[in-house]
Amino acid sequence: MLKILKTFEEYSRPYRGAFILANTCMVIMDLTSYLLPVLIKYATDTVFDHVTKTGDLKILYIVGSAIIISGVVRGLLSHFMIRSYWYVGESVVKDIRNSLYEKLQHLGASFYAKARTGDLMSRLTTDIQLIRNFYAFGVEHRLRIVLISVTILLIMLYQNWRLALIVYIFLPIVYFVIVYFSSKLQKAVMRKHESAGALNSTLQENLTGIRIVKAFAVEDEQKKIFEKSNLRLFNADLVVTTLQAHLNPLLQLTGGAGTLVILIYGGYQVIHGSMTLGTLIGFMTYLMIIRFPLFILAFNTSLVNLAEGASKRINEILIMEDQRENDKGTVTNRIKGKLEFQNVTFAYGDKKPVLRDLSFSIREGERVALFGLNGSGKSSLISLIPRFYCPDSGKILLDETPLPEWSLEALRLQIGTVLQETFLFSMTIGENIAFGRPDASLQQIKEAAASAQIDIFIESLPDGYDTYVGESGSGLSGGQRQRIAIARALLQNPRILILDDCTSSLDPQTERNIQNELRSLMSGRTTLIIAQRISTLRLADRIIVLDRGMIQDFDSHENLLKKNELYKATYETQMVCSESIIEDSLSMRS
Amino acid sequence: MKEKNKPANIKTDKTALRLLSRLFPYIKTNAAGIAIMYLFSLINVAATIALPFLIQKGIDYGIALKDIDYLVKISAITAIVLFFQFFSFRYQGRLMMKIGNRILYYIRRDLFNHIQGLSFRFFDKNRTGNIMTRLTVDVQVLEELLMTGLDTVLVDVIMIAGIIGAMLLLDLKLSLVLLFILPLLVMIVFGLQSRIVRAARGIQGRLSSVNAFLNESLSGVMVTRSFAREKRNIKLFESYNGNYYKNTRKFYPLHAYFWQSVIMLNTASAGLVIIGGGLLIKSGQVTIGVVAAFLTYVTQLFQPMQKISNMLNQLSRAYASCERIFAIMDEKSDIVEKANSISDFQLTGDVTFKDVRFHYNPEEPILKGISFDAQAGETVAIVGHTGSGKSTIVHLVSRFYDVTDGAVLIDSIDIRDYSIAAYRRQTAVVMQEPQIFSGSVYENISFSVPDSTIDDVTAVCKQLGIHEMIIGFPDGYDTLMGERGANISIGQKQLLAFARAMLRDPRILILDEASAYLDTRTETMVQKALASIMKGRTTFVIAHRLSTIRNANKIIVLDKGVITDIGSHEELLKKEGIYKNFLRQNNPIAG
Repeated sequence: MLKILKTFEEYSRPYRGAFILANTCMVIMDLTSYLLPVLIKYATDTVFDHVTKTGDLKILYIVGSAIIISGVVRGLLSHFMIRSYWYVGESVVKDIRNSLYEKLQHLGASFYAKARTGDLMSRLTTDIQLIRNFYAFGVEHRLRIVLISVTILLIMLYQNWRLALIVYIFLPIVYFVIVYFSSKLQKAVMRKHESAGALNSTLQENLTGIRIVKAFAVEDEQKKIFEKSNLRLFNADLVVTTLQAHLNPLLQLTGGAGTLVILIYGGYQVIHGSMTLGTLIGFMTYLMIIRFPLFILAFNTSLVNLAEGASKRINEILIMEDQRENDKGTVTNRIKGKLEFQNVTFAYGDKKPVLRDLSFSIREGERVALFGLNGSGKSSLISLIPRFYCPDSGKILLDETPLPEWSLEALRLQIGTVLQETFLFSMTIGENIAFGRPDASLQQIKEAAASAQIDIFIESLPDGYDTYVGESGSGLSGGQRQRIAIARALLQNPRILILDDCTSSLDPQTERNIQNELRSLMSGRTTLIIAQRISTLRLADRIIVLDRGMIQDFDSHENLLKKNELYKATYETQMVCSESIIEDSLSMRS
Repeated sequence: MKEKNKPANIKTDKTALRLLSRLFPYIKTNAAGIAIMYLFSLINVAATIALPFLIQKGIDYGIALKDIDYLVKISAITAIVLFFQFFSFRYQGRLMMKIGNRILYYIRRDLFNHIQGLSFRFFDKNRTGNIMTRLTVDVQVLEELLMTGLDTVLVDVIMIAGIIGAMLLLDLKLSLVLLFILPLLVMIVFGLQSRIVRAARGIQGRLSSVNAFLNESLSGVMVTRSFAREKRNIKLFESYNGNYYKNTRKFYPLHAYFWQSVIMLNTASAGLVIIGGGLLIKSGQVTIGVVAAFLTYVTQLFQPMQKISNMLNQLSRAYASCERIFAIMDEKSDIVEKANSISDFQLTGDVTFKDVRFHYNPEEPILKGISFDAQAGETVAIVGHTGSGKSTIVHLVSRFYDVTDGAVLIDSIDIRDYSIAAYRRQTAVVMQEPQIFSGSVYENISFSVPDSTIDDVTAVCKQLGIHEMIIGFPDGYDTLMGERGANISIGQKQLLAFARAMLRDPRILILDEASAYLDTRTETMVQKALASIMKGRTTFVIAHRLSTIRNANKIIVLDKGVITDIGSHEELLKKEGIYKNFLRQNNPIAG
């Protein structure tokens, strides 16, 4: 428990006042709860006797009202306790969530290359919720378990040590049983979550592939696979629920056994005059009080254990190094667009280098295409320019200034990127276009849309630019999404433009339609474009042919056709299809 | 107000009944278990009520009268009752969990199996995410109900009745405290608690939107990065988070009020029992033991009431979930197998479309009278713009849909006369975006013929010329695919899908070519594989490659649901028309 408190000390410090208040309320509340048995004991021992003998009711009313008042006080204390603990919990978690988000926004591309969204999401949701629960009631329960069992033991010892010892003999046994149960339960719950996750994956795959399942008429196979997952979940569920079903009766039995001991042994003492009846009834009340920490012990043990794991996972992210640490550059000039690679070598982690000793330079405003087989290093090369990654050796100069000397924000704001998979956010189309420049006016947004030739489509929608785009741009076709992404890049008015294979997933017709927009997008800016299609490659002034991380050739289309084997072969493969109308295609070259 | 509320209640009751009647088959199979569970529950209730009663007897007649024998006797009885309580509580719980889990298991199984039998129309209408939610979230809501509520209604009502009954039996006058306790308890438990539950749900909704924003930020992180928009996103997130936070601060005070009221009421009840008990003791009407028993009973009322309240809150959610679950169970496939369908046959592969018309809704006909013949072994390429009806034609050949009018004849017999599974077993489909399942390469290929050996798979891959490619994967045929598996390109995926189709050795093959551009190496492999896979089968191909189109025996040019031209490449080229236009627009070299 202390480990967690220490990990997030920085976050809980601002709420220390509330935390102390919560703990104080808790201690007073629990201590006043012992008043109840004392009062009840006093009532049964003295008051009832007094009432029977004298018929004087005053003291009865006083004791009765004292009990009621103690209830009111304890109620209020519990109110402030719960409120303060929850306040601390929600506040700490709010701050952690903000920090985590900020961290995640700044973590480098190498982090995201490895991290899986699902895993990250679970840290940000389940783990955070565990920390909330830890502060909101985990600490409370843990402290009360200790406080109540110790103080009740002391009171019982003081009142009748023999009876106290006999009652308390059960407790260590019960304690170990519970701890044993809860560790078993925790494992079982984890297995249940795994099984549920596996079932969900099976389901997800089946549903996304349902058409192929039906096409091959393998529904029965799928039923078998699902049945396996389903049965596994059933069994895992059963283990968890059976454990749960065992624990509560056991706790109840302990309580009952305690009462029984008090009844028989205490009764024996009362009969022999070594104890009063009030003490006996008081003991029974104490027993009821001590049942609370016993009942929450199992729950609390697993909560604290889970929260410890969660805090470790959260902290792991919080202390990671992020891009801000590499952002020491101060140059914020307007980019002219001259790029120079000097002996650049780059590898992901400790793996084999994907780019080997690359040297080339690109003139201001030049259009350069990158071409090569899958895995030749095209995407790695362009990811170095906005500094998503840094080269392991060698230098990249932009306008004669080494990249690290540029301010990261200034650099990226002047580089526009259109990726192969167009990612649109679930906001309005207008907001998506203005993603890089949220302060852009509607007029500017419209102009960008017009340049990307998507304005007519957007205006034809009932809500125009305010049309809400669903998750990942659902409801729009690939071409429409791609055009919105182009408008988004255009609005930024970048000095360097990077097009990462942004046309290859479009069908030829759409690709053809979009070429003019691409051309206008490139004019006046240094452009790097990755493409597989000759038609797109021909938009460039020069083409870099990459082969296993090295430059094989860097020349114009015409020259490459003459000298580069791979380029020629590709041209011919794409040509085979169209010899009959080749004149058309050649005449269309511009 | 009251009048207005009434119809709503009646409606809920009806829903409850309908729901129960749907769940009834699941409950019926467990009827014996449920009966035993209730028996155990009743023993548990009886023991819980009897215990304070026994202790009262022990105090009043054993301890107070100094009768040790009586005390021992009562203690022995108490021990036995405790023992019974323990076992009944334990077995009641175990049975409840077991039955609950079993019901959930069957519901999941039935739901899944039912979904497997539904046709394309259903999946066209319902998105994967929605169906997933039915099988996960809605089933889970049901789980919460079954796990906590199966024994609640009956047992807790009996428990409350039993406690009140015991109190009345012990002392009628002291039971007057109930007049104070019960209304307040009901108010706290049913009023305050349902407000808490509702508030919690509202908050859950807001948390979901925080999480949705988060999820999207993570998926789109590279876009954010390249537009240097981190700062603004952080600000946005802080406002979402702050909004959620503000709402939680309306929620947890309710929680605090709830427990405050419970503690106050519990203690105040004890105070009342003491005062009332004292008054009655004064006139000698009750004993101390009775007062002690009352002190236990008044606190015991709270728990069963809270459980009932929980259960009622869950019920309203469970209704909604159940309705959605059963709505899916009520869905029927529109592709129905005839009673005397032909199931023992060997396809030759002749396909005839006779004036086929098709539409999803009458205002938008998709195919408007399509007729053509494809002889066994022929390759038929279908070309046309998006929305011309290309996919629909091949879907009809697979009988994913039935024609609206006209007929599809396979070997001169109406496709609807064949057994669906037997027919599909002799056909194969390759989709444009091939579905790769998690599992090994071998498992992915043998998906189409589940009992095929690794040798069968290897043989097919060699024939297709992709054996070398697979051997080049990190673990060859055992390389894992899918989310955690190796990343392969779309072209490679399509090659695996070819192997999957080829393994079936189908008489009729349906191919939707990938339109995405592949790198030269993969493209060459695809072209070779295509040539080998089409050989000797009737093949329908939605073609994007001109090489594929040129090599086809027949080309069907489709425009807005009508065949505008049909013939070989050479024949069609002679005419000036849609075909030539189409070729021009799909020519990848033009730029």
